[in-house]
Amino acid sequence: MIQNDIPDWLKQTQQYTPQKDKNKFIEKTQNGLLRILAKIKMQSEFGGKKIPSPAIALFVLFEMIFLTVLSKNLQFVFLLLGILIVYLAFFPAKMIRNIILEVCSGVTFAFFFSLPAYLMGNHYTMQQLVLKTAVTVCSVAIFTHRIPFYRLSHTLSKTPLSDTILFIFDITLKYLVVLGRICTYMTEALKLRSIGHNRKKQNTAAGILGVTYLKSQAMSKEMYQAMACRGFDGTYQSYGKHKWIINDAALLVAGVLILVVFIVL
Amino acid sequence: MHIPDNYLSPATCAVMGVAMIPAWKVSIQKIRQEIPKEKMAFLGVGAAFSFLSMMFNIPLAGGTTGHAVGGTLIAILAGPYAACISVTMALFIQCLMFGDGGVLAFGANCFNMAFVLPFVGYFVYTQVKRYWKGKYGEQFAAGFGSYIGINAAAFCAAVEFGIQPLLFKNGAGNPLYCPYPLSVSIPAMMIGHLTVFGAAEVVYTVAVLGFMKKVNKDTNYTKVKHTSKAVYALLAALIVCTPLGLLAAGTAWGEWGSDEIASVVSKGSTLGFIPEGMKHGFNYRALFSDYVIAGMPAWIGYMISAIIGTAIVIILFKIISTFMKNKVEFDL
Repeated sequence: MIQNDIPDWLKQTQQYTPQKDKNKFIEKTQNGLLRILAKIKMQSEFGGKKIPSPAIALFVLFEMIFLTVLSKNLQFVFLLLGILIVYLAFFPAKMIRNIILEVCSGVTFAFFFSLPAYLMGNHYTMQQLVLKTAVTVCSVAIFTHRIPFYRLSHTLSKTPLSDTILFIFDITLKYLVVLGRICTYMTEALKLRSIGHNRKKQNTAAGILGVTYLKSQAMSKEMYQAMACRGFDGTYQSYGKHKWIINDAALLVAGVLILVVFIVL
Repeated sequence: MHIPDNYLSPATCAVMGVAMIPAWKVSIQKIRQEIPKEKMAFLGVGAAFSFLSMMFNIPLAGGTTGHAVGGTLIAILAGPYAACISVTMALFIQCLMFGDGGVLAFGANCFNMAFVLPFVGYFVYTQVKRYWKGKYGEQFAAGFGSYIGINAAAFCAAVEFGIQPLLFKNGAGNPLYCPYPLSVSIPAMMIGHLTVFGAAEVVYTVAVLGFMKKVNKDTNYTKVKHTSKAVYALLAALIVCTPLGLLAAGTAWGEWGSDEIASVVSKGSTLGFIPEGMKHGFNYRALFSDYVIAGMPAWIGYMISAIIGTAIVIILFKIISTFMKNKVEFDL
């Protein structure tokens, strides 16, 4: 009989305490990716059937930005900000925080930008610039949080934009989520498999991007084949129909009222 | 009851502000322990109720006006600590955006309306409710509690006004800040609050509480799962009615501007001078001063102010809720 003795070195008890390592690079990448994914997910969770028509929302957004930029009356800009604040009060808490953060960063930038004018005695410029920035950034932030990306591409398909551009736009948004998830999984795997102090970890960033690129190549082929099987001839059509809801009417009324107030003030 | 800037000396304002710090700290801790994250929005609704109730000015003989505060109501619905923070937020928005109540006197106003009022009102409410368990026991307790609460707050404000001429004078012996001593300030503040404004607080508290009970069955709002649509409808109705507050012409006692105070008649004599501290005092220009929007009729400006104020208060509490940790509730 052959006896397999366990080697002595294997019998020894070892106490391995891995050296502490910083995961800042991975955590930052992961957080960035998760933030984008969470934003997209949050968009689809909020509103559901109550999402207003993206076309009307886009029209009111442009109207608000245009009139804000055009207006020389600060009271009008204040009123617009008031309307946005009231609308914002109906949003979920997390979305409000995100929107306020975006507005704050815009306003801070405008503040420092107009600080020299203020110090030289022109107080009006600062008021105007800060307020107008707050209104425009807030309205755009509300729009992007309220209208999901997929609905936006649907609206753009009704415009005379080229099919190719629309197709690229739509696929980009969709694959942002798919590839974003792959990236998150890979960074998670890297974090779990790396034990102890690992100096080569940062070099793997290129690896993650490389694998993601290869995956995207494979996916694009699969998608093309799937689309060809379904008779895709290069024409990009959107078949979804938007049903008229009360939010659309409210948005339209708001748009008209804003125009009336602009003319009156 | 909103004390404007320059009526109290900076030293008094600082003392009152410092006195409020532990009250705010304990209230925030208690809210974190007692109120789940998802019900924080109700505190915003409570603050909005308080904000709106303070916009309904009621006239009184002699040309002054006053208003309800709604602090006891929030204390009954969500607890006195929650009421303290809710009324503080309402006062903060009022002073910063609408110039109602001074920026320096913010601590003093909070002490009177966000601390004394809800805590005294709630204490009286619980005591009365304990002894009167009849059909109308709760309504009576709420009404009585709110009446005592608002009068306690008014009394504190009157004392703060009244001690100014005793403590702060210039070389000629003229008062630097509020010129009226305790013998004038206490009766002037208390007559209105013991009668009309106290009654308004009682009616407001009992009516809204009755409505809440009808809608939610449970008076303790922190146990109610969702803020019902009816509550928001009531808020909307109050906003629509706010222009009624404009019917009361005149300024509340102790809330005159520095341009008005010289011509104020008290005990049959006109003051005749502007106290130095008011003449050269701190002057903050609010965004929508006195709830007025230039170029618009007063009632529209008043209503828009009510809408914006309510929205800001709700947004603030929603943002605060995002910083709170999730809590598992086993009692639901």
